[in-house]
Amino acid sequence: MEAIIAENVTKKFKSSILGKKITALKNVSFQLDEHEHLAVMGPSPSGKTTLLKTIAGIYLPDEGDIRVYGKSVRRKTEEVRKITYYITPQIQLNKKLTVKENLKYFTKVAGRELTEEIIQLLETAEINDEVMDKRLETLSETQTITLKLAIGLIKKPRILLMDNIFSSLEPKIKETFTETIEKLREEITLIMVDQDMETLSKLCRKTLILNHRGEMIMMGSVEQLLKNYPYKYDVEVTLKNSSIKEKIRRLGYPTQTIGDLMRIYIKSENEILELTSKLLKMKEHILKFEISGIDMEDIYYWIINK
Amino acid sequence: MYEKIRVIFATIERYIRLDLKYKFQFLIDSLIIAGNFLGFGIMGFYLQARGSTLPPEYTFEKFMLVGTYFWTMLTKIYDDCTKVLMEEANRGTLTLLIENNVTIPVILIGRAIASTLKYGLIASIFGIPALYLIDALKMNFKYLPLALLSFTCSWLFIIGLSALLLSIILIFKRVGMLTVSIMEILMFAIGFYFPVELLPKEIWPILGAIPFTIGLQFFRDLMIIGEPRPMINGVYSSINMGIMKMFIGSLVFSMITFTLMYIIMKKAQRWGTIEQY
Repeated sequence: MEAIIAENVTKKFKSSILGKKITALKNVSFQLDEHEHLAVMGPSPSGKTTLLKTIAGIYLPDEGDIRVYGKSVRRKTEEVRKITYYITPQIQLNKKLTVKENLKYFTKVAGRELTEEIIQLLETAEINDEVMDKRLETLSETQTITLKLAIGLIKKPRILLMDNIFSSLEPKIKETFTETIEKLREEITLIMVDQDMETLSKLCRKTLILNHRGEMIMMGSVEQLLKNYPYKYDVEVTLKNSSIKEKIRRLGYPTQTIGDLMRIYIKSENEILELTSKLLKMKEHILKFEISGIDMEDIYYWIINK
Repeated sequence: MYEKIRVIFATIERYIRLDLKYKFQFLIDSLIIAGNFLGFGIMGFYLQARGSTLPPEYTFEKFMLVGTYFWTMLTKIYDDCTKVLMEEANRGTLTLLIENNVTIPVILIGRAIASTLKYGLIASIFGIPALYLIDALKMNFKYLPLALLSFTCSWLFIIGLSALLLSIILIFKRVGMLTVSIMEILMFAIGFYFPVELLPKEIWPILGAIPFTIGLQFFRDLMIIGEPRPMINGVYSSINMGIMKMFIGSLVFSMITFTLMYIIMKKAQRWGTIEQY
């Protein structure tokens, strides 16, 4: 069953009432099946947040349409909002109200009760009975974001849209959050935007890549991308001194350099052995090197650079 | 429909809770309202002493204080309603409300009802004793429905006006002194300072067409004389005509402004200004 069908979605913003229009999304079309988890990637700005907000019915597309479980975001905006939840660190709950008052309000708005799962989620961030009566301004960042997720889950969304949530979380709560989302795998369709590529790779099996003009470069399953990707492994080399960079480049493998870190992309296990022996010969210039399988981040940079 | 009502009720409760959190602001609002009664009372007594041209049974202090009681409630509701969007946006809470289907009309209605309860209470605490002291609580009980209708129609007009202002805010985000200026013009136009019949004849048709003018006039007459006057120059030619003009006028005006707000809200979703960043 298709959860989302986006057809030629174009979204433009005006910088001012008489200002020039800036295109955030251009002719974006894709389909996402129910319970699939999609990572939206792209440089900043590329319309990632705009895409999520348009799916959530916060914005309306200028051209094209998005159908969420068959409901047009243009014509049935309120129906779409009932089954979607957009969460980001930027949106706030009222800090003057207590945790309980905020929860009470959104349960009334949704016409639902707090479930055992939501209470358990709150407890993972130590939001217990005592904290329930405290104002939000006394809560930690982690507790606030957990509360935001809990509030979203009150309305039992069929589509969860997470915008840069994980990159702002502490490692411990990130793990809990990842577990919570994984538990919901069979219940929700997830679309994520995040700087944390590790979590994206863990949670999403599909990826959609936008370029800086807001155009969709490609969309596919991670397996499909891996199949099309020419390399199988990457070797991350931490350098002691930068003078060795050129020597490593001359080894003939594709590389990527970020400061004192070099990534070398290789195609086969034989090449690993070959490269390892070459790197060992330069050991006085190298602090360490690690070999790992190709992940979503590698593919993303490869596509973007292409 | 049931869902909308449920959301409106929840939103009213939220705003009442929020208002109660700001105790200092509550105190200041109460003091300002008390100051209004005191200031306009003194002004009324002064004008009365200087001699005045008012309808029989009216005195200036009664005229000013009944007007203040009626006006204070409605103008404070208007203040809260026109600020609500910017306040929610500044707190960063607007997006979360919108995505939970707490739409801008729902926010406006919720805020309006919560403010009506708040300022109705504060204004009555100071207003009713003040009106009692100057013998301006003469309303015959059989006219209570007319008093309530006058208030409701004026309320509807004010909410409609707030919807119009919110539409402008949705487009331009900041409107400077526009909200305050409109209220100041309205204070003259509805006959808050002077009875409409004392203003130039040429502008009577405009002033008499404002539902708030008729509402305030009915309310003043009911409180000061005890019953509505059969006709008032420039406002209505018969009581039934007055009621009809007030009722239809406020209903049509609020329907037009709410429709306009709905259209602008959809446009703002397209323009990306809905979140008021």
